[in-house]
Amino acid sequence: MSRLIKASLAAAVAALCAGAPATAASNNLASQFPSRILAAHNAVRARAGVQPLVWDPALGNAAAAYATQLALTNSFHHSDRHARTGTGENLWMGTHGAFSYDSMVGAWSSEQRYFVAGVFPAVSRSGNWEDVGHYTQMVWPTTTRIGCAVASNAANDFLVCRYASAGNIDGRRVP
Amino acid sequence: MQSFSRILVAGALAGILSAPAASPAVAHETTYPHHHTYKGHTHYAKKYCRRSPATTGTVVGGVTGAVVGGKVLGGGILGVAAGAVGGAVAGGAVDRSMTAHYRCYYK
Repeated sequence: MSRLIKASLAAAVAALCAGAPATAASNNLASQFPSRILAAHNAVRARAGVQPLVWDPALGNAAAAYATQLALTNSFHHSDRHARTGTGENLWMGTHGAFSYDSMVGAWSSEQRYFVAGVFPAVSRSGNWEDVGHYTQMVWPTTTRIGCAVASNAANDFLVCRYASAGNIDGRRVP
Repeated sequence: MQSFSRILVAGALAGILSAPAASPAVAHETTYPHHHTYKGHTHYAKKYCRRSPATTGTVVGGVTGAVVGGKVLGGGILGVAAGAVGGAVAGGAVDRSMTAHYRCYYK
């Protein structure tokens, strides 16, 4: 391999890592994210017998801002509910580069094994709604829109999904 | 000996190439200390960690080692067996060293 090609490859990799300037490869990666996350959600919703979600770029932007904040501080907690009125939030944090998008969403949807249909929060076989809370937000019947984003630091990847309207409201039937 | 080294390298390479994507299987579960109120309830985020069993590296290393061992060591069951063992050990070691201790997630 010529020195020139090596240098070009290194530059391309550096551009990819830096996220700019946009290349065809990075555009593909970025454009795949919404469809992958949306498909993972809608497959779960179809199995639960509820309508599919649509992607909302505004929710995606809000999720990106919060994911970046979590990555910068390497912390893990829900955002202030008053700062995202009317929207639900699912969070995932894990070892950087060790999990696929499907694995991340799968960590939420796998809670289905504890789920029993009923009136929230009495929807968990374990008696504890926390064991199914990410899943119930995914399949919440009156949620119609979703937007998500991933941000990373050297140690961890952070996935934030925002849902409108919010799920996990006491007294409502699921699914 | 040189042939055996080549088998080990082949097995190790197979282990690297086959380093598996992390799966959400859970071997250990603890409560993450951060908590917060959520919809009027207190929600505790949980931590899930998994040490790699190195199965993929071992299997792929073993199979690759068997194929390469059969060719490099002149064929026959001994060559295949030596390649399989070398490849399995090397592939498993590489898989384990790459993935052990480094797979956790919180939700």
